[in-house]
Amino acid sequence: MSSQSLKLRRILKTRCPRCGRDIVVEINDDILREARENPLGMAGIVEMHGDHAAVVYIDRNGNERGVRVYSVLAKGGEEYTVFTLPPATLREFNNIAGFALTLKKLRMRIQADLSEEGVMLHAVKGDAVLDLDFRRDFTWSVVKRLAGVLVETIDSSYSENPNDYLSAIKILDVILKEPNFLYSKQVFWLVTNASTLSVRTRLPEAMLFRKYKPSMLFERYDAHFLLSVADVPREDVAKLLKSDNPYTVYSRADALLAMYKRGIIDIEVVG
Amino acid sequence: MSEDLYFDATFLLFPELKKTMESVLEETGKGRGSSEAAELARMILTRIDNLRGDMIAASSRMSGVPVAPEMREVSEVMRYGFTALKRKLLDGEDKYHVFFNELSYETRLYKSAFTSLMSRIAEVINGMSGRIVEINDPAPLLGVKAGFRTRSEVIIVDTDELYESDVVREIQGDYIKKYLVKGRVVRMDEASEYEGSVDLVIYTFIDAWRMGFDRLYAVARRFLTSGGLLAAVVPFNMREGLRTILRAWGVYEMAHIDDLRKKAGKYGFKDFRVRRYGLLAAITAIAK
Repeated sequence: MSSQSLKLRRILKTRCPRCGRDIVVEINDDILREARENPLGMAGIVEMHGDHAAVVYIDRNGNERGVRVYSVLAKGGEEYTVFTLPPATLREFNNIAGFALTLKKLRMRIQADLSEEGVMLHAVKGDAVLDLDFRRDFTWSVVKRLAGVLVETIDSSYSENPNDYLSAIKILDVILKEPNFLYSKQVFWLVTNASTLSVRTRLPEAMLFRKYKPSMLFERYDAHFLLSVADVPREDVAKLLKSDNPYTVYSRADALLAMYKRGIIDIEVVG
Repeated sequence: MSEDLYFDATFLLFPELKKTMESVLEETGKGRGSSEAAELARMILTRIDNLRGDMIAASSRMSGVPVAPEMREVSEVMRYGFTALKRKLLDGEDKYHVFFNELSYETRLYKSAFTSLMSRIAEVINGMSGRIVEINDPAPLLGVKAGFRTRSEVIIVDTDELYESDVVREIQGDYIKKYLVKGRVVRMDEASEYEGSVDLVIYTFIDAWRMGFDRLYAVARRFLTSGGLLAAVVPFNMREGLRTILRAWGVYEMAHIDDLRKKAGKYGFKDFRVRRYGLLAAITAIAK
């Protein structure tokens, strides 16, 4: 970091919802840049509080967007929690034959139907390691790029819910067939953080959305899903994305981002 | 609903436009937004003040007259447009402006205009695999639908202001992708490679209208190949109060239809056709 990039913008004070300790963070250019580059315009600043960590989310304007506490970060020792998913989990996957995801910072491993010999791709970023086996051949550069984006997004997520990471792998299964998909990072970010996010509908946008049903959204996404999102004032992202079918998870995540890009919904960090 | 009543109905939006502009002025006074936003707000407020008599007369003529459903839609969407405009002026947020465009295209008047244009497009470029340019539209619905139907490439051409908005460019890219057409978004200054090779040029809403109607003709003619089609939606803002409402977005007065027809000839178009839909007109012309 250059000294210029550390130029102090302002101090933000908030309180840890777990222990009540004051949290003081400096909002500098680097944090604002990170928020600007984040798909949903947020950057997380981690502060350790003994047996837990508090992450303060800052938006691109330097305002607080929520504080979330993660207890799993403080789990001691080398012990990993291993989630071995039954082979049936992969029944609706078209392209991924097996996977293992290791998250060192959460001391968590999620695996499904992957033998050591079956590893066709090994992607590492920071504390996240993803091994994949495929049902068919893909262009190596495409697979490598998409897996790279996914593992990078996983590494920056603090979700403790293995379902969020499973959803992200479901989406990878779908977009392997869409190598030109432009917004993979945004979709991956949304799903890998799904348990920590909620959707809040905005007025009057949600009302006008229901009434006029813009063609681009209602012709290209599941209308029933769009209306179900617009109909409730607030809902957890994880609940909205929940489905066994990879394509449904992908399509719903894409639809939520489309609504967010138009100001119909806000996506907020759940405290 | 008579044509005159459409114009009278636009005066009923003045109180909300006034409130919006007062709020913009107040916020810019607190350091939010630019000095240009404050200047615009002052100009619109002065115009509204000067038109008070016309507003009262229009309200009186509208009294007891049922407002047609299509005009109610226009009013409702336009009210949201004021909110979107305020957010754009004060915070530089474009996403609400994009949504305003998308809502506008779902009103009955626009749907009728689009249906009429689409049927003319199908007559002229039926079954071809050509190239379409849509000018300055954050939500290029007609362009991608025409592209999908005619299996044509769709080039979305933006002026600098629109092109430099990440939100707008991203959503325009979504349109191309979601309607499964081949295409791209390009900056106006970098679109010279398409000159003289385009079969259909489209413009439909505020961001295109802001370019001025002479420039739109000139740009369309520059892109179109001989026999290519210009398909556009234009506003009837030669009369108050739509004139003042659209000035809030920087749209200047459009020429009367007869003048538009003459101008079309001057810019090298023939077979000028027009159909009116309330406050809008769908026009088409063929490049000579």
